[in-house]
Amino acid sequence: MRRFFSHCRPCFSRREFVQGLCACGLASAGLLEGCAGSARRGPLRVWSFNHFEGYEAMLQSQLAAFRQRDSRFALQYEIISWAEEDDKLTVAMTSGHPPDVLWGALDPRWIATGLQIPVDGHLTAADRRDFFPTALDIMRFGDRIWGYPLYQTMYCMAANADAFEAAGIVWRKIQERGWTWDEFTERARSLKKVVTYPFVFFTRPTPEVWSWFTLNNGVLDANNNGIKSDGSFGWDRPQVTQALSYLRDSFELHAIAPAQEPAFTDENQTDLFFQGRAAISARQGPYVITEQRRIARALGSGKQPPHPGYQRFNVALLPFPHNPPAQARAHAGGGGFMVFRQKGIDDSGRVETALRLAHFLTDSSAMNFAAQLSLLPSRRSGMERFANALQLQTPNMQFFQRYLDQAAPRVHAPLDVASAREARVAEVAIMPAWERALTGDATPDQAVAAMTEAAAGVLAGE
Amino acid sequence: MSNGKTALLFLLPAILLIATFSLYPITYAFMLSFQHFNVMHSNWVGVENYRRVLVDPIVHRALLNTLIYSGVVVTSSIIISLGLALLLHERAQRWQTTFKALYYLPAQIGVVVTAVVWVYIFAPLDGLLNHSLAALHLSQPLWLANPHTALFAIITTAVLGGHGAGVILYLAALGGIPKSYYEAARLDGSSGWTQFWRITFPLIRPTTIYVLIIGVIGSFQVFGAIYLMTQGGPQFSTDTIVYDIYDAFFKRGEVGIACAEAFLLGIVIVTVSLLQYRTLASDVEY
Repeated sequence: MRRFFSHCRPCFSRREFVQGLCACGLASAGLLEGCAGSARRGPLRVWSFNHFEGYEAMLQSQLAAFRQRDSRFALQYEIISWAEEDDKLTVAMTSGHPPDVLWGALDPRWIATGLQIPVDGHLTAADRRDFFPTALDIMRFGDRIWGYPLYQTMYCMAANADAFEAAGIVWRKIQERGWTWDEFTERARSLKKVVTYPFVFFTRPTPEVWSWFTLNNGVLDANNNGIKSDGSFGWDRPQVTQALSYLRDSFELHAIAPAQEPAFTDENQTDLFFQGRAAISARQGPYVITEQRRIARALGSGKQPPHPGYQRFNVALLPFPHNPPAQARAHAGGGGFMVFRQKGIDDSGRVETALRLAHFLTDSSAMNFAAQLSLLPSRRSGMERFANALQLQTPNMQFFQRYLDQAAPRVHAPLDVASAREARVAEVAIMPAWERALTGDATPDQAVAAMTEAAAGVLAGE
Repeated sequence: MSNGKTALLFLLPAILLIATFSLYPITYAFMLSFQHFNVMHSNWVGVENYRRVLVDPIVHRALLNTLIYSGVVVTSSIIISLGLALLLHERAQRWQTTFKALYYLPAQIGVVVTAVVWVYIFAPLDGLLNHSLAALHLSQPLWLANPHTALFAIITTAVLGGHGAGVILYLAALGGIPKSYYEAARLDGSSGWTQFWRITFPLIRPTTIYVLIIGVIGSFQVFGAIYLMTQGGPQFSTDTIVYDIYDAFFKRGEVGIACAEAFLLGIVIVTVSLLQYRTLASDVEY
């Protein structure tokens, strides 16, 4: 071996070796680019999530039905997990090779890439009549509509109705009239006396909670990250401090909710609720009704519940508490199918097919998706078609339809702020203020003052 | 085929792999560090990304956290590994083998599993640690939620976690010291402490330098535990440079900033490693 290499050594100099390495690098770059190019010319790719049991089969049949209508492109789908969502999409978008059709909520970061296709030019007059205005608004950014909506929803609180009744609280009245911050504290205290749960109100303690209470304290002209439509910071006023003080008191003084802990996740929040260990859980949506039905079915037939310890009880959807004179509000949200072009490939046929596919995946028959999750369909025709499955006459769904009418106006920052600096504001201004106030490192006044200063710095591009 | 061409043929797979998965990405990332990246139209911004990284107070905080983490973890790792190796060195071979395997076992467990276990240990409600403290009627801190304890908690997971490789390396080094040195020292009446400082420590110095440099390089790149346990919070108290790079790329979409920060980290690691080597390795014989 040694002899072999002693022969080899004079064959190429160090310089030649480095040149060869660089040449290989360039060749590899070309190879990788070529592979990406061939992938781009491949099948139309659809990414979605595992929304409910049987969803994948539903998507498969939808894609098969579309393929029968339009066979120009083969279709390939992928069910991605919620955990990998953000990172996987970031990589796909950054590479210029996103899925052609993506299920999701509107994200300004993807619009800013220049890859996302607005769909407003492709909406027919019939579409515009059929889609609920709130649903279209969910997919609107600026003056364009960036996807076909599939359902409409709002975050709300979910309550253990049995626990409320045991504490003598009439939850239907809360659904009808809402509840003030003071009433919320009082009801929570009543619940503590009659139930043995570790928490009355369990939430994942992030600044998102703060944004709900700020909204319900009359701050309607700023979004969940405190940004106004002109790109300035709007959480610099007394209502914001008041909401933070109220929450700090709820967390610390009344021991209503758990103290902040990054280890709490959406999953264990849901677990604690369905295990009957938290009387109120937020944020939730009407999908808790579907989940509770699933638990009841399993336990009723003598099977194991979907997750260990899940119990059967009645669920009540409730609005977030408000602080008069402010009214009960929440932001409407929802998801749908969005369309993306591929970088470096100018194939209008591909984009048009993707647009038709996204439209097909949100037609009235596709509204079964919403019915499966007790969400409100985005189309009037879908609402009629699945009215029975949606059980629209139940108190919970009646409340939810009314609640959706109270949706707060959507506030979008300018695209350059919304796609980059807004996240930084949340990270370096809002999150530290929230954490400092909850851990007692700062008073709410000090926390909000520091937050305002930090946010101004980020928005000024410092 | 000549020997040269044969050699090149054998080298080609490795060269291709290095070029594809190291050289090309590094070069591309270096170019991106001078751009304001957008997938459709990037702009050349010169050294602006480097300037922004260097003046960012969050990056300063992340660097400080990284230095604290690295200093505590590497120092304690060397002390604990060496201590364990010294304890095991005099034991029978079968005990050495058993304990080497036991100490090395945690290194084989993925960081995800370890982090999840530690999250349950530090959990405020039903966590093992707070449960034990409650039983002793002691206060129960929110370990991962308090900015004063979070970094300490993360450091604890690292300090208690992986000494297996260090123990094995030190045992090998200790085994290489001739017994005659100790016999001569004992004849001269030197104490165990003197023998350690005058014989053992100088002769295992190459191993210590290796463990130190590898430890510093590894600890500067800590990410998994931070990502899984605290996501850099609360109040950036556990933010580290590599987590900040991840944050810049994946959360803020600032690709150029992330690349600039990565190259600055590379420069810091190379500088620290060279300094360590020059300071400590001047009279090491290999």
